[in-house]
Amino acid sequence: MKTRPEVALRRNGEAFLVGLVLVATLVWVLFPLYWALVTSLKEPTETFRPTFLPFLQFPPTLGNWQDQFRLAGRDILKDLSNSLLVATSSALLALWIGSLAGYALARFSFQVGPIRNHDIASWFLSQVVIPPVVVVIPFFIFMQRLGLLDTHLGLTLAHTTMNLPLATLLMRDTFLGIPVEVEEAALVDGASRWTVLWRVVLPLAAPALVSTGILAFAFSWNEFIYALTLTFERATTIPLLIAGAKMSQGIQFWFVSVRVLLALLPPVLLALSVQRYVVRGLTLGAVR
Amino acid sequence: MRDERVKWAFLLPAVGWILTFTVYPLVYSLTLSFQDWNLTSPPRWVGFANYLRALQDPRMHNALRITGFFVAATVTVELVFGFALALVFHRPIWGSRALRAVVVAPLFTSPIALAFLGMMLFHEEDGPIAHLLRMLGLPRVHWLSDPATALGSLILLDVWQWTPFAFLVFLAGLTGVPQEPIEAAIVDGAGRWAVLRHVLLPLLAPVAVTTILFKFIYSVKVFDLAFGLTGGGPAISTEVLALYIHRQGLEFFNLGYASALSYVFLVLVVLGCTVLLLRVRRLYEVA
Amino acid sequence: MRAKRWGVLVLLVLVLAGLALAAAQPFAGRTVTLGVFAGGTRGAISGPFYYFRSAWEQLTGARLNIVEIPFDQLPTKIKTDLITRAGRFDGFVPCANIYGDLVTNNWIVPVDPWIRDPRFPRWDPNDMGPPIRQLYQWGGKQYGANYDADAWVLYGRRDLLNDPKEKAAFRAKYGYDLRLPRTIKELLDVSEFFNNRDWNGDGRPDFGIVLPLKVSAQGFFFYLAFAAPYVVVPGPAVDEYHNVFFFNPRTMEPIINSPGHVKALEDYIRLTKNGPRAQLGWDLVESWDPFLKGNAALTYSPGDIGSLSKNPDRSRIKGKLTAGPMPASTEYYDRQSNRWVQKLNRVGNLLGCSWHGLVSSLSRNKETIYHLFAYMAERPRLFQITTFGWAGVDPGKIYDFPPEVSDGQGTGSIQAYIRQGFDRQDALDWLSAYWQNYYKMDAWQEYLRIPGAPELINSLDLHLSQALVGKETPKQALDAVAKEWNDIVSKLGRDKLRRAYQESIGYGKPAPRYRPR
Repeated sequence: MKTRPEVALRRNGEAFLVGLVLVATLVWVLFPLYWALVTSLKEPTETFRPTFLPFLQFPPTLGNWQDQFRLAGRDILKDLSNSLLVATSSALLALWIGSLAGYALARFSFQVGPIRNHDIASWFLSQVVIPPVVVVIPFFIFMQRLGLLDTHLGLTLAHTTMNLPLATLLMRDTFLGIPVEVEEAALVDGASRWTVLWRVVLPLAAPALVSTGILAFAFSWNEFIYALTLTFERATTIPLLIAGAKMSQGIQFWFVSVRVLLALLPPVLLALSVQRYVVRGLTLGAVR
Repeated sequence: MRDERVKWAFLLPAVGWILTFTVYPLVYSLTLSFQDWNLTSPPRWVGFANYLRALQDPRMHNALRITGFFVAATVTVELVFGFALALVFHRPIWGSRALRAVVVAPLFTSPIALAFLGMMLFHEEDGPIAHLLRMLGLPRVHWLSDPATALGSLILLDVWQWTPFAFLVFLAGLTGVPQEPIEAAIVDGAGRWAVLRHVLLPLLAPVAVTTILFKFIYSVKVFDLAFGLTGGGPAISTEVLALYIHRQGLEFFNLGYASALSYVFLVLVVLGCTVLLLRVRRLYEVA
Repeated sequence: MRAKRWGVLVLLVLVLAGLALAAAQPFAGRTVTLGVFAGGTRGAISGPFYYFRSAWEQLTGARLNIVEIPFDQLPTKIKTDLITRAGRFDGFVPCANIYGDLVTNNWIVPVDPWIRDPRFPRWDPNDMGPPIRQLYQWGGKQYGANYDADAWVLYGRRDLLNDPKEKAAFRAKYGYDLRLPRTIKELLDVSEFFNNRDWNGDGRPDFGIVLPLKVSAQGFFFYLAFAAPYVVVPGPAVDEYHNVFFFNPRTMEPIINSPGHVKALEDYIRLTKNGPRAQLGWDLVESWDPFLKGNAALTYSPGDIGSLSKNPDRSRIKGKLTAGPMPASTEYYDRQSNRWVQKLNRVGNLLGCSWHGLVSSLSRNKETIYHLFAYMAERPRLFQITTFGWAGVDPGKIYDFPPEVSDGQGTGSIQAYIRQGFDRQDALDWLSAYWQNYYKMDAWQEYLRIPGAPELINSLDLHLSQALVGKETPKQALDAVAKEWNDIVSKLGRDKLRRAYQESIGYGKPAPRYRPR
């Protein structure tokens, strides 16, 4: 719907400026990723030169990728599968428990002394505020006592804890935005809350579930400090593969760029493929 | 009513989880903060000694300053750029959809991977930015070796990653803005900038403050970028608070002191958030 | 009857076979976990363990699990494992600077009783150069089996230093002959001479010297190597005034801001000006590149340059490398008489990590893991490892050095190095540098490995950085360090630390000295 400001603002030279801004922004956003990609395809000595067009300026090679998989293939596969396992598990777990709690906060009325729903929601928000570095050492001791150090379960528990507050709040917002009438009809018909949630509400909230799940997945995939402290061999994740690239043999751009791409590509590709949901998820809760 | 029992069944898993996995470590950390425990002596109670030391620690002050500057700079720049971009692209012109799609990518990059990418990009001799500066005839910038610019490198990386967030949020906000006040202002003869400043901005204030809140919480915890790119250097020009705490705890193994520092950190962050949250509530009530 | 006798015979044979097997595979069925620097399967420090793993496993029947840990996480992972008694590692190969923490908490086990035990492979601690041998000990007890020896030596471009044009120009400007610097003055002159002009014809100005000065990396080592001859006063014994660099061992007062240190830092800052500005942000490995690619005339560094110079992927200077020990100073400050002494002072260093395996006291397989370390330390095997180059295990044992460079004392063969790809003259110069550093110096800089060493070094590191960028004067910087060191020492326990320092340096004992065989 065109409004007067839009009509007023549309002038010829503007289209050009807008185009310029668009191109500049796209370049700004994509350049680092592109650079990593291009560097990974260069011969080692070529990486020190400012060329950036494969085939036109330099002959691309898959050698670096092959080398990485040949020399560190086992570690790469191990870290990729660990990341996948932990990210998926913690996302699903956070989504599940968070949805339950979010639904409860959205539909029911709680009162424990002076504490009401809104306060409980604030309490969840306060959990997001805690910097990981504050709890990482007690977490380590806690996990060690439980025998969960360097295990998938241990890291999953840590990541779920990290994702749970946000998942709860996002799902609460989603449920608040879904009209109650549909549920009430089902309840009147004798369905239990459980059935209502499972059969009626969750399908309606599917886009939000997807976006929250993806956010949780990405946070877990990219998480570094818990992974750094709580694992060292069996349950290491991709970010640790990156951190270990330092001090190996120097500024091996070609080597680092392969690892950086291995870390970046999965969540980025995932995000790009479902960006519609992601955008919705990010803007939920920020816009009433 | 049935609901009475069910509602607790729904809520308690989450609450229980957080109590177990967050509150317990927090309590443990608190008790640790009142003890002195390092590699030369077993744990012993020292009361508030660690806190007193933390409040007087010049390196702590430095970390606070660095972190504060980082948060202020990143939040401001991202908000301004994000808003500007949203203004430009919220109409249905070609390319805005493509941009919206692509712009999600930086948000999903792992900060530690970004730090290493930054090492390549900011390399003073052979990085693309150095090449670009040379080509344009501009003076060389010692991104990572000059204390004055090292923090700038971190800020740039964070801006690259998080401006899209502000952009998307403002985009959604602009879509939800009621048109009547704007049209009324135009009818009254207000120019574009005036409309922007006096009508649009106040309408978007709640969105802006919420974005600031979220970004504040995220920025203040910054660790991976500093750890990966500069290690706190050169000197201590990029030693953000989370990094300093990590250093005291897991490099020097002054575990009691690190815990006290953590709590000071936590208190400051909670204070900051409370202030922001109060503003959000007030603005929502007004709007 | 016959069946019974056969039965007994079979039983006897089985028992004997079992015994033989047990003797042959003494640690059968055990698995040991080793924590080691992440050099990869064909890289520094960890490489040799992978290389010899299957042979050792077959020999002992045990299984070796190698856990690689990146450099900056190594001390944290090891100490967290120990302080929480998780005991994940049976043994680990840490940098020598955490020795103090390990010993004072009884986290590592002395290996003296096993050295002569016939159950274990034989190796001789006395093969290791005298000052390095100390790093494998604490308070008179041996904790490690021979492995790596690290020190910083000076590297230069043989072709440049021998070039007639350069020699003539140098002589004209400075009045003496160009050669690999042997004194600080020469170091300053030569690095200045080659700095900021294009002497390799690639169109870009080249560097006199290149140094990695990045903070929280290895930058501080470079000050330590440089400053040693200004501060360490030779003497027959390690006492309050002699053979010390960091603290007064009697009082535990820091001497890091003594006049010797201040002058050293002033000259060090001058030296860093003879290299690229960007080096303020370079870590160790980044600094190697300009030298290896032929854009710097000098650098000083641990042994890696020697081994990397033969690697065509990294180096363009194979055949052009020369090396020598760190330059001597023509004067040093004597704190006993409170004056500067004008005398040539050659001081060796032990900088780096001198990686070697240590047995965790939490291990349930102590003898198994020691067997591994002793196996790696067997003379022929360890010599082979040293010649690899890529293994990051640098020369230090007497059998590493060919007689040509070691006054006939060494028993190594230069052919072994050449076979691994070293250029002959490069290798000879490199080995000669290390020989001189470990066996022929007037004194050695002690290695700081007391509890709290990381914090002490971090403090020094930061203030050095401030001084390098001009934010503090050398005196201000070092005075600040001294004050912070006093605080750290008080906080950790002055008596505890003094005792640790004295034990770690052999206080009161004769200074290390090589006695030719």
